[in-house]
Formats: sequence, C-alpha cells, structure tokens
Amino acid sequence: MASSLFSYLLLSLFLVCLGLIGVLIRRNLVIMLICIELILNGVTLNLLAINKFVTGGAAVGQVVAIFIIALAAAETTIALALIFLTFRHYKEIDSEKLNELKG
Amino acid sequence: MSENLKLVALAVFSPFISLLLIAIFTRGSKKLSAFIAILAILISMVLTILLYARNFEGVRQQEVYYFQWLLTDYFSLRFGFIFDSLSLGMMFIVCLVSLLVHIYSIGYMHGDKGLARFYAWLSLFSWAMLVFVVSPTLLQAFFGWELVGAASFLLIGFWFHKPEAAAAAKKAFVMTRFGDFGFFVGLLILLVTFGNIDFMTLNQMGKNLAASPSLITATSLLIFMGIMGKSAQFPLHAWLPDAMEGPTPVSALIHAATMVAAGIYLIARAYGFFSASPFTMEFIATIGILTSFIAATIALVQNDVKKVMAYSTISQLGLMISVLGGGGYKAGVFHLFTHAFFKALLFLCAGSLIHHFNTNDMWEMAEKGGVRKMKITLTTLIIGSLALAGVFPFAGFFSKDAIIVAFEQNGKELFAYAVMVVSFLTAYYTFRMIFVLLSPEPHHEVHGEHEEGHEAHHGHDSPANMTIPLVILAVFAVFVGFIDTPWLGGYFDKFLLGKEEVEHLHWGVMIKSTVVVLLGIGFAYYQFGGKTGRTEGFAEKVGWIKALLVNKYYVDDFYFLVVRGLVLPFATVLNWIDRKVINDTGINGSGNLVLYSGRFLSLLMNGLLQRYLGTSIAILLFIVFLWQLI
Repeated sequence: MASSLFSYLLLSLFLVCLGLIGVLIRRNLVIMLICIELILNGVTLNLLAINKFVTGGAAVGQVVAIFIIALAAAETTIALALIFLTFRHYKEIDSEKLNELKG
Repeated sequence: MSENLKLVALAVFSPFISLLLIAIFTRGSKKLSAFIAILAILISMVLTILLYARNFEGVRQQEVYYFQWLLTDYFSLRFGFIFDSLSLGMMFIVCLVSLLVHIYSIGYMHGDKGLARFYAWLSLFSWAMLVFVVSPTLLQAFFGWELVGAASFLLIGFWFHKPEAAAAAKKAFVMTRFGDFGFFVGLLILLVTFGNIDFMTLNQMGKNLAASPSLITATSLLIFMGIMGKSAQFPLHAWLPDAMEGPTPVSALIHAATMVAAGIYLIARAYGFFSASPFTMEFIATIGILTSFIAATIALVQNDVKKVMAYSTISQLGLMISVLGGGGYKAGVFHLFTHAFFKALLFLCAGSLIHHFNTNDMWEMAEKGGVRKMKITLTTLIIGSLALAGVFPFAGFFSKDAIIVAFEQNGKELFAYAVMVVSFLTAYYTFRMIFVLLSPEPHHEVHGEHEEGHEAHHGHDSPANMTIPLVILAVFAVFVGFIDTPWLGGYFDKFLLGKEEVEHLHWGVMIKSTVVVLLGIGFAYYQFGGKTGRTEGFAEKVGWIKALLVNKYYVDDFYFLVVRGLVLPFATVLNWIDRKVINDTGINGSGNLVLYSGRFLSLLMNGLLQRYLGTSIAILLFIVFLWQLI
C-alpha cells in the first residue's frame, strides 16, 4: 500500500479537489491563486506517479513535471502582477465585488 | 429575325421609349410630353401600315421569334414576337385608335394639370397592348394583359381627386384581378403539365394525346375566367360602366376598342386550344350571349351617354365571345375589328358632346340645346350609331350578319335568334340616345331674347384636333364592313384565313336583320322622336322591369351583399387570426421567446468568477460522465 500507484493517485486527486474547492469557495484572489497552484501540483504528482508505475523506463513524466514547475513559476508571476494591478485599480481583491462583466 | 419581325419589334417598343422619356425627362412640360407620345405612336402606326403594305394579302406563314428567358429541366419560358394576319390586324386597330385618341386628347384634355402624366400612361397602355398582341407565349400574353390592366387602373383613376373615379379604378382593378387569378392558375397548370405554353403548342393541344380532355376543359375554363374579367362578361362585367369615370378618350381607347377586346383576341389567338374542349366552347357561347342580352337591356334605361355606350360595349363584346364559342372564328374577329372603329368613334363623339356641354346626361344636353349646331360631331355620332345598330351599308351591318350566319351554319338557331333580339335592342337604345339629343329645344322658343347670347356661346363645334379623329373613324365605320363582301372579293377571308373561294351573300339574313334593326329604330322614333322633355321608353313603363334594369339586375347589390356578408366577416376572422395567432403568438411569441430566454440566460452572466468556473467544471464533469456512458 505504501508505494502503490493507487495511493499516489489518491493523493493527487485529493490535492486537485482541494484546489478546486478552494478556487470555487474562496473570494480572495491571492488565495484563489494559491489554490490553482495546488491543482497544478496535484496534476504534476499524477504525471510523476503514472510515469513511475505505468510506463516505466524513460523519465518523460519527470521532464514534463519540471516544465510544469517552471511554467507555474512564470504563470504565478503574471497572475500576481495581475492581482497587484487589479488592486491598484479597484482597491479590491474580492472576486465577488469585481463583477463588472455582469450581464 | 425576319424583316417583318424587326418592324414589329420597333412598333412595339416605340411607345415604351416614349413612356421612359416622359417619365424621366419631360414630366414638367405638357407640350413636349404630348409631342413625344404622339410621335411615338405615330411611328408605331407608320410601321404597322408599312407591315400591312408588305403583307397586303395576309400573312400565310406565321413568323415567330423567341428568346429564352428561363430554362429549367421541367419547363422553358420564352418571350418574343409573333407575326400573322391576326396580330397584324389587331396591331393596326390598336395603333390607329391609339393615335387618334392621342390627337383627340390634345383638345379634350386641354388645360388639365396632369397632361404629361396622362400621355405617359397612354404610352404605357399602347406599349402594353402591343406587347400583348404580339406575344407568342401565354406567359408574355399574361404580362401584357396585366400591364394593360395597370394602365387601365391608372387612367380610370386619372382624376383621382374625384372619389368616384378612385373607387371605379379600384373596382376595375379588383374585379379584373379576380378573373386574372383564374387565368394565372390555368397558366401554371399548363406550364407544370406540358412545360411549354407557346400558343403554337397550345393550339395543337386537341391533337396531343398527352393532354386529357378534362385537363384541357379545366384549364381553358380557368383562362376564360380571366377573359370574363378583362372583357367584362357577366358576372364580372360590373366594372366597365364604372370605368366611365375616366377621361372619355381613355374610355374610347381602353374600354371600347382595345383592352376590353384583349379577351376576344386571346380566344382567337388560342382558338385551337379553346375549341379542343366542346364544353368550354358551349360555356363561352352561353356566357357571351347572356352578357350580350343583359347589357343590352340595361342600356335601355341609361341616361348617361357614356353609360349607354359602356353597356353597348359589354353587349357587343358578349356577341363576339359568343360567336367565337359557337365556332364562328372569322365572324368574331371581324366584329372585333369593325366594332373597334365605330365604338371608338361613338365614345369620341360622346367626349366631344361632354366637352361641349359639361354634362354626361343626354336629357340635359338636349335641354341646353345646340346639339344640332355641332355638325361634325352630330354627323359622325349618327354614322357611329348606324354602324352600331347595324344598318346597311355601315360596318356593323356586315359583321353582325356574319355573326348570325356563323351561328346558323353551326346549327345554333337559338343563338341566331338571340342575336336578332340583341340587335333590335341595340338599334332601339342607340337611337333613343340620338332622338333624345335631337329633340326640339323649348328653352329657346320661349326665351327668344336669350337665344343670341346662348347661341354665341354654344353655337360652335369642338376644335379641329377633336373633330378630325372623328371624321377618320367615321370613314372607317362606313366602309370597313365591305371588306367581308364578295364585292371586294371576300378580302377579309383571304387576309385572315387564306381562303380563296368567295362566300356568297346571305340575303335571307341580311333582310331579316335589316327589318329587325329598322323596327328598333322606328320604335325608338315612335317613343322619343320629336318630343321634348323627359319621356319614358317601353322598358320604363313596367314598374318591376324598370326597377330591375335601373338597378342593373342587382349585380352590384349582390356583390355588395357578398362583400358585406361573407368577405368582410371572413376578413375579420382572418384579421383576428393574423393579429392574435400569427402576430402575437408567432411573431411576437418568437421574439418574446428569445427575450425571456435571454433574460434567463443572462442570469449566468453575473460577472462572478467563481460561478463561471463552477459552471465550466460542472459541464466538464457532465461531459466526462456522458463519455463514461458510451
């Protein structure tokens, strides 16, 4: 049980769900960003586990995971910049108040 | 295209160019517009005379030129020109009467504000009529047919500020459209069934095994419905007397000589097609003679000179239609030709009188006095009346006898007797009008001192541009009948049918019809001649007959009742359905559906990031779920 595929998948599922729920229920943009990172990490873990237990051999999954981490760093930077600008503009980072797109 | 057809094409399009020129450039100038229109129709007339000179013996080989308009796998629609004796004769009549009416209108319409418009519509009419006359296919004929209808509408309602004129124009349009509806349905059936509606094909229909007799009967009856509307046959005749609200030259051109004759021309043009169905022929003959009798009796009690002539036109058209239905092709076409001349003449004479007296009522004209002073108008009016009544040697005599002979030769003695009765009535009502107009003038004898001034004002005839057309038409009305006699070698037979042997004279019929006509004239003289003031004719002496005739057999009342009782309630129901079902439920309903669904869906567009995200995830999960199911 300790190092089976199932436990890894369970953990990654847990992380993804945690991230999703966080994104959906929290109203603070910074918290939402953190939750998105959580989802990404869950997915990355999934990739690593599949590579180890299912395909074996070449470390394709690990390579993709490194890419994801690098991309995540860049993406987080941009997202944080956006949040920063949003705050500067609206004096607000509560997603419920930022509803100018309301139809 | 042969030489003849080129001339035909030029003659047809000359008035059209005039219409365009007047409509686009010379609307502002009355004189220039009149000049252009007259020049255009003069060109057509000259070309027609040229054509006639080239084909003096008649056209033996029908010439046709087609161009393709629409070609599908199932049918082909073509336009073009046809040239044969029939179309040549009709072109001659249309151009001649149209030209004379154009000239006459200079005097009659003098000082009218809409003169340019008047000439534009006259050009439109001439063009449309010629398009109809030269059409080699039923579809082109239908186009021309509707165009002359439109021109007729515009000209009847020319003085549209008069409510009666506007109403008459509408009535004429609606009533003829009602007939044209049948025409169009018949045309479509033929087109769908045979894929071709050229007259040449249609006239072969009787020998065509693919065409079932019932189909021919049905379609020919439908097309005859259009003819009943256009040629004012009972029960669709009621528009023609009302159409007299238009200017009198228009009545002469459209509602006497040419447009109303279009129906007769169409029967003659598609004679092979109509005669392929014995039932249709019987029907045509019966409707024609019935119309003829009804209209002739109504004319007995009319006091408006134009109305007398309008009913007389209906009556004569009925005779033509009837004899065509009875198998007398030549007699029908011949009467169409002669009638065009003398009826146009009569209308133009009436116009001259109306122009002079400012009234349509024959009794008022007689009271005002001075009819006898209008020498040319009076002489030509009497010539026209003699021709209409059918007195030897005027045109109507020969063509009416041809009708009686045709009925007798085709074994329809009953119809021949009916024509006799109608010609008695015709002679009677025509000369009733003449004798009333000629009645002595009491006014002048009593007030002798007023006579001078009165005479000075009224003692002249209409201007020359009105009397010259009268004289020209009168010459035709006197002499045109002879072309069907052995004295001229049976020229008309040779021209129209290419028959070489000369038909001998039918003395029996000639004597009988002369006696009948003279009886009619004598009777009219007995009741109206030499008397002063309003006198009642024999038809007015019996109360119920008078009521029946004055109310025009209650046909108008019947239409009124039908419109009030059936059409309007039905229209109300349809209106309700249109408003409630189609508009509120259909049009507004679909609009509201979009509106409310939009409002509902816009609830999703709340601008809340998490809702969007939640929705996307829910949909994603749903798709995954569906995927699983597969």
